[in-house]
Amino acid sequence: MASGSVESQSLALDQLPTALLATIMTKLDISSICSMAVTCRTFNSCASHILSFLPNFHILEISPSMGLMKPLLPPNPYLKSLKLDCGQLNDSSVELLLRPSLHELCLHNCSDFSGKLLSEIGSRCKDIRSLYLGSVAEKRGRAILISDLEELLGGCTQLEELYLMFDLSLFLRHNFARVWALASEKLTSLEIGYISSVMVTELLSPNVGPHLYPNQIQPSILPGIQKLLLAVDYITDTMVSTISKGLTLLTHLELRDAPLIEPRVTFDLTNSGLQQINQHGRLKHLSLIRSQEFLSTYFKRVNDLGILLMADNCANMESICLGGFCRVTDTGFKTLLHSCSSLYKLKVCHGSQLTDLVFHDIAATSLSLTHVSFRWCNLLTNHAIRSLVCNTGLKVLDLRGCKNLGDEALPAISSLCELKMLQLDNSDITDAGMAYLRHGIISSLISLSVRGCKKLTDKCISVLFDGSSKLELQELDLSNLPNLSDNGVLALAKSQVPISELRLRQCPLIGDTSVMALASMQVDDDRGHGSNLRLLDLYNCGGITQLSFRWLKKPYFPRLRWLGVMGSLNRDIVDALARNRPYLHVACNGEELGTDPWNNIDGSYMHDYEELDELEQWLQEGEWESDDEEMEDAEEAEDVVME
Amino acid sequence: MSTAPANTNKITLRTADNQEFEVDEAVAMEFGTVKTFFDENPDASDEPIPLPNVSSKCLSTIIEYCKFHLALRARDDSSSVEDEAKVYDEELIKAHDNESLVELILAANYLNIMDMLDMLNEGVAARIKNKSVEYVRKFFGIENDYTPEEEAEIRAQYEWAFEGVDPDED
Repeated sequence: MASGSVESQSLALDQLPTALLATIMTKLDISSICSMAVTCRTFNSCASHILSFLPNFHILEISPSMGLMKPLLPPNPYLKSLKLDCGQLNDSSVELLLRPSLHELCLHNCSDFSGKLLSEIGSRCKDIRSLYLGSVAEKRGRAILISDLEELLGGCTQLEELYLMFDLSLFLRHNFARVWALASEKLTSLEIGYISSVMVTELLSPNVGPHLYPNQIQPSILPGIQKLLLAVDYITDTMVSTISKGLTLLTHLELRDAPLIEPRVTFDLTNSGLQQINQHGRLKHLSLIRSQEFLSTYFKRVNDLGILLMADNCANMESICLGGFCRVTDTGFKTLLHSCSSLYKLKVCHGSQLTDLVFHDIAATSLSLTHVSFRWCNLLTNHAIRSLVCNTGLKVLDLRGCKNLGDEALPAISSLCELKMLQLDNSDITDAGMAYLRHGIISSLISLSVRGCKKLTDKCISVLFDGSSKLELQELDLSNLPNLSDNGVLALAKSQVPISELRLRQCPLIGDTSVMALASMQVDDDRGHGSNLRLLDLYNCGGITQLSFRWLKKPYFPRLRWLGVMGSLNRDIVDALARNRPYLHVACNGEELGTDPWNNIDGSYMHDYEELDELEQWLQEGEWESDDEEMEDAEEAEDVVME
Repeated sequence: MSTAPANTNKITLRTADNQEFEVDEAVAMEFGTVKTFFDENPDASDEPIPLPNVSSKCLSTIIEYCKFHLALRARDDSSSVEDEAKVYDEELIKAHDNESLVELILAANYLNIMDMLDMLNEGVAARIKNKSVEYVRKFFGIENDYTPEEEAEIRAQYEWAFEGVDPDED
């Protein structure tokens, strides 16, 4: 700043009336407000004052203790939105947190709370519109009773959005429907962390259940639901068809399952189930995903016929996500592209039979896709990408696990000037290919991942970033690169790219020098040491020793909130770091970092590239060369099962 | 209001550095202070209105802003109007450094122009969000008036919130 005269300096604070300062401060988040309180006494009293009328209170990056929270939450009749990570809180915080003025409440990591949290919300927060509760009562010895859920649903009569991100499958089934009948009529959005498909079916089936007399009319359950997101044990035809029949206003359906054993024909999704989708014609967003979390298993009873039948009903669809449909071929996928003219988002995971032909005449459709994801679609080649980029409005392109993509796809990709997020994990690109990104989209990309692109070396960093100015890149994933060394990271630090998330997992050549380089990285004129990094993942990096930990302490990495390290390092060192930085999340067991762990569709992200190779081999060798036994089963069973 | 003809009436404003600006009545009425003045003095003469707390630089920016937004509002309510307004506002914030933003806020506050004040406040808030304690002090030109003990105490209290930059470093 220009060195103004003394008068122009004093223009600032003396003349800004306290009321104005307070107004400016109310537009800040709570951590900035607290930060400002430290600057001088005036701001400190402003901050204290503001806490009594602040409408939004969000602390999600750390788990504050009760001691930290108490002074920050004085009586405040204007508090409308409260979002917290409750990792260090329990039932005793209920009185402090639950206010009658709240419209929006979002509590993560409530494992130390009991079900009392739900009943207290029902009695204290009667005006609430949107409620998110994560991991309630997951600690041993805590329990949620059906009466807690009953009091929650009965008390919150204005509820519009409800996210119960924990296991509801333990409730007794006969009471379940009765309790949900109490839910507010205004409820339009419902997400459940885990529930069994049988419970869902029974919940939404009118006039089903042993407790009802033959002529008793049951009021419809959850009639206003437009958005339904469920994680279940098995996605079944019965469940899908009950949902589609029962929820007349449904616009948004997301179902995910994670089978523990191979599903039997009566407990699986088949072509018939797909045909039942969107009976009321309002569906715009559909997601059906079979996760590989426990078992390598797929929707083996669904083939092109099922997709064709579904596509008949789905001309107005805007987003489709299909995970685990390994028997669907180009015919099926192409039908989707050609039937759904408003489609803007398409995600396919484990589309093992999806080939370039799907995109052959995509230019002839009038599609303008913005979010595209083809994960583990091994048959895709560069041709497909060249056709795909006729969708010039693409913002997100996720090609993780498409091993046959290489440098030749990159010129096409770099023509996408709206692209913000690009993931090329495990593809065949080389340093030379990265040059195309440099001349095209690197200045507008926000997130880039080249995890597991084994041919890349240190050169790719300089190719990408040397001389580039005004980059917007915030997230960079350079994990699983066996040829990336400290020199590459040094080049990254020198280039002053303003990244806030950097992942270097499992890079054998990365060592202490990299940590030092990143610690000294000077990014903007914000004064003081370096990097903007909020997240740094060094899990299993070959050369990290105790020396790095000196550079991970304060005042280096001032903004760091997430750190991944190898747990087998001396435990004392890691503990010392945790003491030096009490608000840092340290992960020692190789888990992925970040505030959104549910972004991994099937958890296969956690495995090494090597492990995945074996898996792919197994898939390609065995599966569909055999007779389509399961398909025949399914066709036979149709007559028996469908009612 | 006075019985003067509405649209073509011009009002003169005189700034702190004695510059005079002639604006349409509609624009001047966007300034709450001016509007109140006329409401209370319907027979005011055509004398220029003195604005001793506003510099000419600020006033010209403010006048441009009010003219632009008035014109936007006169068009029908399409969503492109909202987008255009947003772009204009963002450009305005970008074009001003910290000191002149503070000046603008003071002027908008004095002239009682609610929309502009709100927009400027948002702009300043965005600039100081997540910044270090030192940056904020420099921004507002404030001196640290804590004793070392008090400062240590308050830093410990809010440790979780701000960057761990040592205050004595430069």
